[in-house]
Amino acid sequence: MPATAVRGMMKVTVHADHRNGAGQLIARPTSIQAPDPPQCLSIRCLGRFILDSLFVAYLSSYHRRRVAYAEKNRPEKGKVILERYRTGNPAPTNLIGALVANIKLTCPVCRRVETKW
Amino acid sequence: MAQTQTITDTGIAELILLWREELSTGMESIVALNMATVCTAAVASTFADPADTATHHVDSGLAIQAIDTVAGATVNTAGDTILFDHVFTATGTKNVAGIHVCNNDDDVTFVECCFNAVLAVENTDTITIDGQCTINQA
Repeated sequence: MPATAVRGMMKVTVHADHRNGAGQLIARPTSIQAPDPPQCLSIRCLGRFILDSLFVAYLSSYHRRRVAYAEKNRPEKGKVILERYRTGNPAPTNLIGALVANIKLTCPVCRRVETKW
Repeated sequence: MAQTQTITDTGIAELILLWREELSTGMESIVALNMATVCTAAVASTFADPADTATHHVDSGLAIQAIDTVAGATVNTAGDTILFDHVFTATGTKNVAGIHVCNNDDDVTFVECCFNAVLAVENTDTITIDGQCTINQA
């Protein structure tokens, strides 16, 4: 049998900042890590993986929506939005928070209210 | 859709050419991707055929250009990382869906990145790119 060895993997990370001519931040796209694959086949492991996947899906949706929202509300045009929608920080850290953040972004009144998640 | 980024198949092939000391060039150029909707980075993307229906911008400060800074760095083991930093300054109103990081010959894409929403850039806007590729030995 031929000797083989697997070593390493390539990882790429990209951050981007979109600013206007005055240097004001318009939006910062966010990269999200995919959930770790399940380490076992127990109900608990699979359940955890499903919840993590759901969280990542809702978090991705949130970041897509907030960047689109921030892009439509450029600061030099007098549009004042919460800074978190431009920077992506703080971002939801759990599934419920991600769900609420998505709902808030669709509501013109709610999305102006600062909340913690 | 989340922001997606990947090292492309052609980028890996270019690396192998470098190991073989065949005709190849290193990371040198960058170009913004033009698409009205969000794209998804794919390993099969090439310089001539970016993700989905995206195309390379050819003007307005977003066309292919030399990367401002390319440098080596260390994340896990000495010299296992390459950093690339660049600032696009737009000279017109355009949609930017992502970027391609390319070789010096401008014919191979090493890295494709699709942002999680389309950036609607206007004249004098800047897009600052801060990226890194690491060969993770862990």
